[in-house]
Parts: sequence; structure tokens; C-alpha cells
Amino acid sequence: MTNRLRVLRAERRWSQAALAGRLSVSRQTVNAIENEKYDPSLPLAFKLGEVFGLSIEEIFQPNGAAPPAA
Amino acid sequence: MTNTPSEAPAEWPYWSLFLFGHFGGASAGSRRLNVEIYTSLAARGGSRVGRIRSAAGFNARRREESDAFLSGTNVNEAVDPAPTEPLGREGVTAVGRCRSSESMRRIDSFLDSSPNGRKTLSCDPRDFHHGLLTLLVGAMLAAPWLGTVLPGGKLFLIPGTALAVGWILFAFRRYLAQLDELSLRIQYEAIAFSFGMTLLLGVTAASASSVTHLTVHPGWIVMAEPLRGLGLVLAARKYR
Repeated sequence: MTNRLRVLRAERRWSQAALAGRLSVSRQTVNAIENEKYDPSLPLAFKLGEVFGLSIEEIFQPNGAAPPAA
Repeated sequence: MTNTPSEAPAEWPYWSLFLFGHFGGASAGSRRLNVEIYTSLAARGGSRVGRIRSAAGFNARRREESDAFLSGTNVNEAVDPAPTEPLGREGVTAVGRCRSSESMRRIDSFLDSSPNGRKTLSCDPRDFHHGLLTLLVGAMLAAPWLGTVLPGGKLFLIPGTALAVGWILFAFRRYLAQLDELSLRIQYEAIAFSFGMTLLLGVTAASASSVTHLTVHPGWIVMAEPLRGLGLVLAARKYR
């Protein structure tokens, strides 16, 4: 899975810790997701979508797939 | 062969020292020593409100003031960082939940500060109380061995062991309950690694005993704990 988490976070000028606080997870978890070392659970993916105001498909894409057009 | 009061079972000193030292001494409140499972003795399971879950101890980086500066090469740290974690790398308790008590203040005054000037002692008085309880359990566990020296101590063998093991399992379960999903996954991978390696090494040693004439002591199971620590290191590196 690839994701746009780093870009979305940078757009909002949030630190990893700030995003982790909003998601109630550790900063390490945010870092692992951003670096694509770890795929989040479905509840956490939904929470990410809720935090960024986007759908899951707009944040996560299968490897090689282009993000859906806005 | 039965043990007389003057005849100590050979394995009890090792078991008692291992468990007493492992879960007792280091859990008395110092975050500097509270690596990983020791925090279980201070962890409050159930409520996730106002807490930042630990990121598997040694793999979590403490936020410093310098994090406020945005790197030109990456965007990992934005210009609006979260406040510095008050309790160090474990960073378990949110600032608003910190409370103090007279007993904690007394203990706090005896402990050194960390190199950056912050106290390494947790501000939660329950850390201290749980530490004391653990010391008590450790003492009970040591009682059977002491009882081989002191008459009547064997009466504590079964209740002491049951209480100690039960408390350790309860504390560990409570520790797991307050982790986030990645930290939990790291813990599970470490437990799986520990189980597999302990089994593999135990079976290998037992199989080789006919050749090497070395016997496998039941206390070998204690090796599961350092192997779990090794598993934690490996699993945490995987997700770094």
C-alpha cells in the first residue's frame, strides 16, 4: 500500500506527534505508516480519513495505483 | 529425596533472584529503569482517555525542543510540534493526568535527575504503590527459598508462587491493553519470537544431551524473557 499521509500532513503543517495525538496513537505508528512499513487497521484508516476530511481511497492506494481524481 | 529445612532446593535462588530483581526492584517508580514490561506495573488499563500510548519503549524517540525547526530535506517535523513529552521516551501519561502525592515527593527527592535535567520518576503515585506491591510479591516469592533457611517458610511456596505469577500476568495484560495497534503488534511478534526460539533452543539442547551429556534444567524457561527482549528489538527495528 502507498499513502499520501506525509503530503497531507505537511499541507496542514502538522507534526507527526500532533497527528498521532489526533489519532490517539504513538508517533512511531504515524512514522511507520508514512514510511509504508506498516499498514494501519481499518478503524485507524477510517480515523485518518476523518481527521483529514478525506475518504480512505484518497489517502491509501494499492501499490502502483494512481490516487482517485478529486 | 526430600528437602529438609537446612537443604535449599538448588533452583530457588535463581528463580527468586530473577523474578524479584526483574519485576520487583526495577518497578519501584524509576522511569529510567522502567523499560518495557516494567511500565506494566504502572500502566492503567481500560481508560484510553488523555493518554499517549507507548511506542514499544526503546523505539520511541523523545521529542525535544529542537523538533520545532523544520528540516529542509523532509517534512517529518512541522513548525507546530507537540509539547515535549514530560515523562521521557515512554511518554505514557498526558500532562493533565499527572498528580503528585506526599509519598512520591519524598521518593522523588532521593532520585537523580536525568542528564537533561528532567526527573525520570513518574509523576503518577500509582507507579510507586504498584512498585511497592510488586516488591511485596517478590518478597513472597523469595519466601520459600528463605523458608528453607528459616523454618516454616515452605508454607508460602504455593500461595507465593501463585500470587507472583498471577500478578505478573495481570500487570502484563494491563500493559498490553494500553498500547496502540503498532506497539501491540510489536509485542505479539516478540512473544512469538520468544516462544519459537525458547522451544527451538530447548529441544535442540535436549536432543543434544545424549551426545553432550548436558541436561536441560526446567529453569531454562526463564530464557524466554531475554529472548522476548531480543524479539522486541528486532520487531521494533522492522517498523522503524
